[in-house]
Amino acid sequence: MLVITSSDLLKDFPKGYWKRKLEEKISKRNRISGLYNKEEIEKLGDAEYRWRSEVYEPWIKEKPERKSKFETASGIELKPIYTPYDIKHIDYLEDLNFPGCYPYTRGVYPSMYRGRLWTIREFSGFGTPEDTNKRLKFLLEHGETGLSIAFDMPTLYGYDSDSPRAFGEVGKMGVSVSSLQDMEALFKDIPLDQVTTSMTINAPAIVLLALYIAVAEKQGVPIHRLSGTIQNDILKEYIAQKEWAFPPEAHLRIIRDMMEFCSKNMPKWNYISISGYHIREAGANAIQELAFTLMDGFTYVELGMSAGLDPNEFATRLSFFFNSTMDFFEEIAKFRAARRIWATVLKERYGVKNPRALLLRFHTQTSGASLTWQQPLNNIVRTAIEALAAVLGGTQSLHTNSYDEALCLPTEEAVVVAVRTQQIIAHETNVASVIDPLAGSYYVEWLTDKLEEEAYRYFDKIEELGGMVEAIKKGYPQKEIIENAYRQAMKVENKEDIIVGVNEYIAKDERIVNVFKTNPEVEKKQRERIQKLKQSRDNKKVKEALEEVRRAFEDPSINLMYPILKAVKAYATLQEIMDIGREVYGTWKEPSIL
Amino acid sequence: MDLEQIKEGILHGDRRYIAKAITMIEEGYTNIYEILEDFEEYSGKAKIIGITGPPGVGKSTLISKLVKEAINRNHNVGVLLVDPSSPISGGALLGNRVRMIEEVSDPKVYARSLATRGWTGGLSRAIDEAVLILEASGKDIIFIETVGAGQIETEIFKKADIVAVILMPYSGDEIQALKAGLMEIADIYVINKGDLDRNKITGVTLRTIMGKDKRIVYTSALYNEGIKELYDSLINIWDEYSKSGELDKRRKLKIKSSIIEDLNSYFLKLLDDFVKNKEQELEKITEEVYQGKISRYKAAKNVIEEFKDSLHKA
Amino acid sequence: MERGRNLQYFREVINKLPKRIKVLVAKPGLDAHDRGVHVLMRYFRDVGFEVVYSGILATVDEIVQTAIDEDVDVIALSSMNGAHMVHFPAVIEKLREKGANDIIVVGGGIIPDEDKPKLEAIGVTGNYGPGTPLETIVSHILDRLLREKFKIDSKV
Repeated sequence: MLVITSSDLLKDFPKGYWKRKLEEKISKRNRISGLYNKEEIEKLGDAEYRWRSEVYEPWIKEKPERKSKFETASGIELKPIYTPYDIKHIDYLEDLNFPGCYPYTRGVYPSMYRGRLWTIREFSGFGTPEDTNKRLKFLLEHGETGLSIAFDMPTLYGYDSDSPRAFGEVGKMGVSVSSLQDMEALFKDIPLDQVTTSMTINAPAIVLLALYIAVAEKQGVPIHRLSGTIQNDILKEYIAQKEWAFPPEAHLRIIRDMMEFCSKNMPKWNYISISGYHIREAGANAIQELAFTLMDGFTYVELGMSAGLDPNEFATRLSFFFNSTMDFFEEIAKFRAARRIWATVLKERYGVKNPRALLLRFHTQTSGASLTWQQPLNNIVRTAIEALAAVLGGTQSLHTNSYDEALCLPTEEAVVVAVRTQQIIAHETNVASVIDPLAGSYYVEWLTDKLEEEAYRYFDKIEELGGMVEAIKKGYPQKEIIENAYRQAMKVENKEDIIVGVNEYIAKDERIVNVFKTNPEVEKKQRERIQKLKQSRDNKKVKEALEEVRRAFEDPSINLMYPILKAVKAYATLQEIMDIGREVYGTWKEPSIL
Repeated sequence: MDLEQIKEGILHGDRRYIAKAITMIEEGYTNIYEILEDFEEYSGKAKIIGITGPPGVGKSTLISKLVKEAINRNHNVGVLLVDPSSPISGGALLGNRVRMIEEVSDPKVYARSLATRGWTGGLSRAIDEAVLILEASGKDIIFIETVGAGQIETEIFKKADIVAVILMPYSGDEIQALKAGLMEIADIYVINKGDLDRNKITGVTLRTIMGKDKRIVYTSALYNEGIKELYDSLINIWDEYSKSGELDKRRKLKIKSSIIEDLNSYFLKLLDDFVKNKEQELEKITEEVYQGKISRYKAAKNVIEEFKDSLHKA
Repeated sequence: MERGRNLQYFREVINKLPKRIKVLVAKPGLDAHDRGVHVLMRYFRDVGFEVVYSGILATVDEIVQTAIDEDVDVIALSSMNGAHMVHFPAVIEKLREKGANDIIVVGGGIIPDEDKPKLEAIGVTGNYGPGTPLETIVSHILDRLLREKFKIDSKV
């Protein structure tokens, strides 16, 4: 059953926009911005040429460089230095402008961190809901300002803790939530009107959002006061994280229903967090993270518009989630380019006029893939550098990884170090006092511009393939990412890239110390709990509620959110609801990317 | 594992022995042919359906659905999937099975991936023997998927009873397929994926190119649409061919081409051995040609004569 | 793409083996972290192995039937989410039940040191973590093949 197809999404947008933008970018490079005097800039170009041939080349002939070619982590070749000549085409007001002003390259808010620092938001979740509840309270006590919940694998796929598919997985990678009973325990004594909550959940996002609303109701918190984010970015699941339940067209319909519901009822809720994080962790480079994530974002804009929603309104509820990893300047340039592309395209292609709807607001997490299990304390340093890049890139909130995360779920000691890392950057380094301090760096501006161009190249390619949904069904972004991961791995294998403690500076006799362990009793406890629930609840009421859910799954003109909300309040379980979807829509098998 | 045991295992449909026997064919263990001779009586017992088409059209997904349909109709199914070998390392990513792992993990199915191992035409050298082994094991319908790497893959015509060519709608595939010679071997076209309007456009193009009598089926394998119709069409064509004598004609062609292939590989192997033993001498001859003492043509002719002599002696 | 010396070295070793080595790479359970196996599979191809993949979310039955149908020499199991002590022994058990315990089984993923001896005791060796050099993994597989399958008393 096809529900929302790519031709539905693209029907109002004729082909060719991306190609035009790409050509525009390339031809713009030859101009000289009004900021520079033509004669002087050409003189500078000549001077650079002379420096190269008379000073630099003879020097490196005497003292050869470390490598024959220097490049960014995504393979952009680098000159030894950058000068105003490299950014002669960049116009300050048109391309950069002031913070809080279009195209927002320098930041989405006028005062940035001078007003309010970024939100420290540490992702956590493990074991039973009670275990995670305790950890959440611990983090709030240590100065965290926003909650961020990780769910276990069965929950992420929409299976209950007593499903045979959940065997061995309950409470392992996050907290186990199968019903309202679990959700109540998870947020026990945490008033939902006083915190912002981020939930990392995608395929069954609609059910988890319903559960959150139901808990709020029980606490007496009205729905419109709820503030937070649900990830709900299914496109990146197909591209990278691979935790889906149904085929793309069916998931898009569910997301559309959530967009409609939240637009009406939850003005402070971000209902899609368009995520590059997992794309990057799956092996993408900075260009791919930037391009695929933004293209996902544009697809959601098209989805909202195809449902008749106004992008001036709903685009204010879309937020982003990026990765920050080790190529310091490339990461900063990536964040800056992302803001500029998003604002430009929303304004030009989707006709958005509301300035608030043009802002690319984002959460950042430091890279899990950059952590090593060897010499784990080195990870504190890596994380600090990555966090600094995110702050210099203008992030709205930040998760810093704990140094032991390459080994296990983080211990409390390691989590505290991670939080302290952010606090040190915020209060001791003075980097938060001046907005976008790296702007105007010849290198950073050149690189920002270059990444933008490379992103448009990918947008054009994806349009050729029929849009993001079709590209995903063909396995295109998936394959690009894996090929990049293999290239990167071979560079490490051949020691072209050095990873400290992994392929150089290796310590002898490494031992893994102080590892956090989940309680093996969790699975048993959770299974018993849900089985007890299934006996004690009003099963007639559940059955009726589930019938309504089925009707809504079958009829795309009914908004699924309402019957699902009713079902979870009757203590229908996550899997009971998701299984109906699986019956109606079937499951999904990814295209071969070998 | 002795041969008798393998033979009995295959006849009982034991997948372990089927698997071992196909490996022996792939590896060129000649003693396995002793068993194959005993299997001749099973030759022709199964309907052999070839599935080909350009890369990315969804051949594997379509086969997975056909397999499911065949199971539902109580058939005993065999599947042979061919993937390309790396010419540099000899390794291969056998990526077709992953698309159908659920369907082919049914106890009624035996599915096997085969790498081309240098064989051209989108197939593996072991196909003929693998088909015979599957027939002897009781399989009554066998699907063969070709590589689908874009090159000419018309060899499937010599291996299958009927050939289905899968195309993607509105992609220009129809033109490419025509160029690649796929159109000449198609008994049926399957236009897979996409929405119906686009499918129809491709159908119209195909009819314009191929004339009205070609059969065209529209499917969306991802969403299970058109699968029953396709399956019925495949069986109908097979029945027609069986009645009209076309099937006999094709099977004779298949036998003939297999005999030629056997001849080819027999002599290739002899030649290979001959060349291996002549390594030093070849170096010497090369040097002489290089220095202009003898023409390349003459030198090659001398070696050919030597090879012929060695054949006589053998 | 740059190629290391190791690839060349392995290709030579592998081309001298009596048969082409076929490996099933399998991810049992609800585990979608497939970056590592995709990198590994490409490396396997480039050293000269033939590689079959189970895909993510494979069941034990699917893995074992695939291994038997494909007549693989090696199964490489990957688990990144802590469920290895459930799924790896289940695969071993099923292989034994189906009479296919001649297949060499290696493991990898996020596997704590304390679990490694338990896995080795049932025949799942290697159990390397993320960031292990690809060369180490291929060497381990070849060592086991030489010793157990080809009865050759030497190391790679």
